[in-house]
Amino acid sequence: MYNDDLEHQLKETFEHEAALHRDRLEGLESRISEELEGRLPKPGFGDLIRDLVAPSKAGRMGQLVVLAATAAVFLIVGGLFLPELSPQLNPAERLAEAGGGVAFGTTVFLVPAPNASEVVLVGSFNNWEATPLADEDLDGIWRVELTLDPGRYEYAFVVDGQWWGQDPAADETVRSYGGYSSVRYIGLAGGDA
Amino acid sequence: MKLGRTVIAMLALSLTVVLVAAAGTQVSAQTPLDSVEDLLRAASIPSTDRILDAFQFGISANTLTPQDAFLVTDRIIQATGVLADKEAVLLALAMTLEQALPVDWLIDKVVEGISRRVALSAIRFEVQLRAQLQAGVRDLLFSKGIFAGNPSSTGGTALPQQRFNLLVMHISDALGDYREGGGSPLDYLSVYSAVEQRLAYLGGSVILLQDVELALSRVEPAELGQALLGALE
Repeated sequence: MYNDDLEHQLKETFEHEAALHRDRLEGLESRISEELEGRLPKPGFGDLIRDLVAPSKAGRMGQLVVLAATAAVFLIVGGLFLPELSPQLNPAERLAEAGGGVAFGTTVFLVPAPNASEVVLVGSFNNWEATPLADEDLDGIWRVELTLDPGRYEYAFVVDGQWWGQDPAADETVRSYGGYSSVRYIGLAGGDA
Repeated sequence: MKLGRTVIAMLALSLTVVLVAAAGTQVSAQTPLDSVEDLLRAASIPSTDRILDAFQFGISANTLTPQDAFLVTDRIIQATGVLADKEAVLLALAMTLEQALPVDWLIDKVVEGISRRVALSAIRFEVQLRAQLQAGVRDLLFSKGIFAGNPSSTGGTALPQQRFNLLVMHISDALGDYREGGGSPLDYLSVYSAVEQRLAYLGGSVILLQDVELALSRVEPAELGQALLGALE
């Protein structure tokens, strides 16, 4: 019973004291936080950099290795292709330099022939022998891509055995042996001249 | 005794290998024109020797490849037609080669015609006309002071053979296509326009721009028309 009385008296005393100084206890927690913040050291520039990269030393080493590898790849690729980017020559200069010119691109030939069972391309680029076209997506448009050197090429499509030499995509159309041939001019870049 | 048989068998095998190898060497030693000669002689083309000489000259002058020589001969021989037409087409090519003029565009015209199943007589007409036209254009350029070879002391403009040949070939082809399209050789402005358009397409990519400008600045419309007319006569 003695202990119970003591505890009761202590509780009443604390409540009485708290009631007397209630106004001083208000905002105590925020005041403590502010004081502690003022005592903490301010982050420097190095800390900011470290915050941007990996938080640990091992992580930062890994990042350095990746950066170094990337730089090495760029240097190697740059060394390989830099000569290609050097001085731009006009077509005539490039022709003279290449001794006639070499094409590096492809030329697309396509023809609508929805009901055809076979479409081939014949022309001066293949000794007028059949190069087959394909209609892979079955939309009726037959297509083939060829890599051609610079020059002038006459050609015609042969749709189920019938010659068709008036390609709307041709640069020009000429009469040949009573029929028509389409013409493509291929420039140095491999596309249409 | 058994050892002796083994040695003899090995010797026989070695001899066989040597003989096969020798035969292979013989085959590979065959020149590209041997195949062409075989075709011509098998078809009994009367001017075989002249044609072969011209082909050989063309190969040495880089105006003909052995592959093209075989291709065009084979197509002509295989085509349906009389012997005279076959020989005439081959001779048109041979005469072009003898003059060191470009022949690949004429070969292309022959091969196209055969592929289109055009009568050999029509192919003969077209190729002879174009070969004639090319010689006329060559002469026209000569008359305008445009030459192939070393710089001239007479004030002419000498172009390397390949560049000169490109000019001659494409001007001739443009004239040939113009005629085949029904154009009149007497419509000089249209003749000139056809050539101008062809060279404009090719200038800067296939033919040097300076060569295009050189030709167009020196050749008159009427002269191109006359060159076409001359080939038709």
